[in-house]
Amino acid sequence: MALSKIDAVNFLTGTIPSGNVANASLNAVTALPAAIETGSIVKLQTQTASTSSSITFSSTYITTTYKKYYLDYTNVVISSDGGNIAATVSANNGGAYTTSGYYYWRIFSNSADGNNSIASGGGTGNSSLLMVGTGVGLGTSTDESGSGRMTIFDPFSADSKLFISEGLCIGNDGTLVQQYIYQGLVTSTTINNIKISPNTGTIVSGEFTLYGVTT
Amino acid sequence: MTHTHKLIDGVRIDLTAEEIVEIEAREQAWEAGAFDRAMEDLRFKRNAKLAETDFHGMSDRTMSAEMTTYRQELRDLTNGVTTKEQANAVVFPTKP
Repeated sequence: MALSKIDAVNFLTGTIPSGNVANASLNAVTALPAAIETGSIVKLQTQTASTSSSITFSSTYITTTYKKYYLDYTNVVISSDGGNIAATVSANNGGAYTTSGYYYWRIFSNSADGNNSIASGGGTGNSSLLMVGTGVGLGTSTDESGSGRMTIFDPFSADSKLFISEGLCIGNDGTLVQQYIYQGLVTSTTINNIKISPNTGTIVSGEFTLYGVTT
Repeated sequence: MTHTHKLIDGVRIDLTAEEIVEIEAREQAWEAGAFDRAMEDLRFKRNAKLAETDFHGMSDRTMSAEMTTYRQELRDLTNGVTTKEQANAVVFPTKP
């Protein structure tokens, strides 16, 4: 297709002729046209821990709207050296939490280890969903903290519930620890609430953000 | 550790007396299992180190005396460990 006209003046200055666009000024743009996708990851809520015993995302945010959720945790510090943070889920918005029967398989390595020194193992009877601080616990010394993400797959599915935690921390031994934990809960019961807590003590600080993922 | 509150959807909510009792009971159970967890972690790491040298035992190789000693030291690592402090203080042998 050949160009029918080139406006030489506007080409040089970069000015858009106002007649060619609905809003010639960026300040006048207040919304994207409906036809443009706004993205597939939607931030639902951020909570900031402050010596908190637990942090919960309720059925207000965990809904049938999304088939997948990301739970990000950043710069988490807990009060007990060597502890970890983990989550339990509820089918009735916190009325009761499942505290047994979590399947898991974890793999972790440590910056203090040599090449190819990767530890792994699993089980079927965990009391919670591991997040970060397993294998080597979270440290409490200055500059020691943990971060990561838990992917929650379709909590409203009629099939088993599946989770992946990927985290890293400067552990209580002062090394960098990388952790991947694949987890499952064999139940057809839906999930609409997740509670995060340390195994002992409190969550001194850290940000927890829940995202909904459009699939 | 003093427990005062929880966060639900970003709202700070004071813990009830019952909730504090429940948390403290969970913490006591956690403390009671400290030695078992320390031993589990120790075996976890030990087994990884054994696995990374398993190939020395293949039929087409001859394991050196140094490697044999190293692997035996790994297997013996948990002998005599009876406290959490001892488990956390274990020093792994150096791989030849």
